[in-house]
Amino acid sequence: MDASEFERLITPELPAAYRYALRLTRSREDASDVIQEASLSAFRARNQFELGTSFRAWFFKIVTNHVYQRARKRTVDQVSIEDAPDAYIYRQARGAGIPLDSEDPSQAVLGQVTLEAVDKALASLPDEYREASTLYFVGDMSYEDISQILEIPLGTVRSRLYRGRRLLQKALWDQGLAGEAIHG
Amino acid sequence: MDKILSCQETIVLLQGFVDRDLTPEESEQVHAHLDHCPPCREAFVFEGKILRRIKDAMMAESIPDDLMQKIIGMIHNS
Repeated sequence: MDASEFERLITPELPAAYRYALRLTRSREDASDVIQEASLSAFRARNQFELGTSFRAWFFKIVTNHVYQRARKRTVDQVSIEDAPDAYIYRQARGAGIPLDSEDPSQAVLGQVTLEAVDKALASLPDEYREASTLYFVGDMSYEDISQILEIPLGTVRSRLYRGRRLLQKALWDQGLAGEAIHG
Repeated sequence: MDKILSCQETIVLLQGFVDRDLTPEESEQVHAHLDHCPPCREAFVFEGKILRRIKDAMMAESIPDDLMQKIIGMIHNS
């Protein structure tokens, strides 16, 4: 594969790969370094890519490896799955008496879901849920792609996304979504 | 006759329903439950909005143009 052919394959993947690295590293400088290093590694290893398989999955696997090579030990408090039932924010908003069914009062809650809030909530997730959830949200990845990138079975992808969403919602709510929505 | 799902069973299947990852039978069962259960329907609509909002927040930042150009340059010069 020559450089032009490689460029054709990698160019559409770079925006999502950058967002993925940015969400995991939480640093523009680190994300920029990760993407450059991963792109160069992928180019040098391009002959190992099997034509007919998913270039996206192959490249994101390399990006993931570079993220973790750079990762520092995280010491954030992590949320627990036992305390995070399904549809967490909906249940909590209902319990707090926030009306969600008229014109569009759900905007009171939804408006608080900012990038900063999501980043903070993501950082509190255990790594296995954080990486699967980030791939799902920033990359429009299929379960099959996530399975290949993280080298885990499809059933594990489903379970990590399911638990990851519950944890993410609990972390968002615990950050003060309720107070902001009620007090505006 | 199709199994009638409880509210709890429906909530557990919502992720797969949103992602179109259910079997046709499961999907039909969720549809049937939502058609007759306003609280679950409200939860489903809200869940979709929350997931959309989280996705939009995460998609807010784009790769800088100069970084794209730098990477493409690196590929051609290495």
